[in-house]
Amino acid sequence: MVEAREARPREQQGAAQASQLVTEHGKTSISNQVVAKIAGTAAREISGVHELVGTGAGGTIAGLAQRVTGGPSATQGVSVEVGEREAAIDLSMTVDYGVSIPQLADAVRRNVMDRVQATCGLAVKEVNIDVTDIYLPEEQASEQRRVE
Amino acid sequence: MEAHGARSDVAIARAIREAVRRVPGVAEIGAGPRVVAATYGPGERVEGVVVRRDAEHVDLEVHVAAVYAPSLSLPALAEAVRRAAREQAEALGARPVRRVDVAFDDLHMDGGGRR
Repeated sequence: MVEAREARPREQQGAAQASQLVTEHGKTSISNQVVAKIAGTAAREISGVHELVGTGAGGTIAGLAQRVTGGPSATQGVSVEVGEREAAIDLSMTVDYGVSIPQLADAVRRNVMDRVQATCGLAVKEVNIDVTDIYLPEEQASEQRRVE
Repeated sequence: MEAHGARSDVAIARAIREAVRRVPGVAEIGAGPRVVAATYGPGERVEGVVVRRDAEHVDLEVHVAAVYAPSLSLPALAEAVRRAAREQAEALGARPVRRVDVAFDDLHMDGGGRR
């Protein structure tokens, strides 16, 4: 197995490392990209999560590109660190106006932990949630006009 | 070098690739952003499957992209992949298989066009 892989582009950062589930008949490794897709999907399932967004300039550009091209990538706004048997996950998201952020964050955290555990067999040590913005319907409408 | 009567490593890798591809839940073999794992032979290269042999054992490595489903269990899928790979290798004379390493490089999200 080739362990030394090249560095990846920014949004996929961390995907180079893989977790390993070791059995006597061989090991199973799960790439960070796989864990990130599962975590991102689990987070989006919770009603009140508007979208997962990348942070920083990359995220802003990705967000714009997303509005233009439609459709987010499954790992956007998700960063994952996977060890041998456990994972730590950072999520960056916008939420709908009017939700209780602490309650929403709890629900997201629980769903992400459950899904990653069930799907990958990895214990999730922590899920850190960064709420970067609140989605206001009228704001979206005016942005739409600007893009057009 | 090769065990008597055994097929070439590339032929074995090709057979494993076909068998693993048919395992339910497997999207493709050798997928993922940067798979360099392959079995090399004259005029041919089988990506995503590595066959390693020494005097006594055969070790295999398979790189897989899985299909996402809410009920997906990667450890269970890994076992199914492991079984399929082992059966193919042993049927073609590459035995005993000691270990089958399974790497999930990517996950295909169903529907919606999300990657």
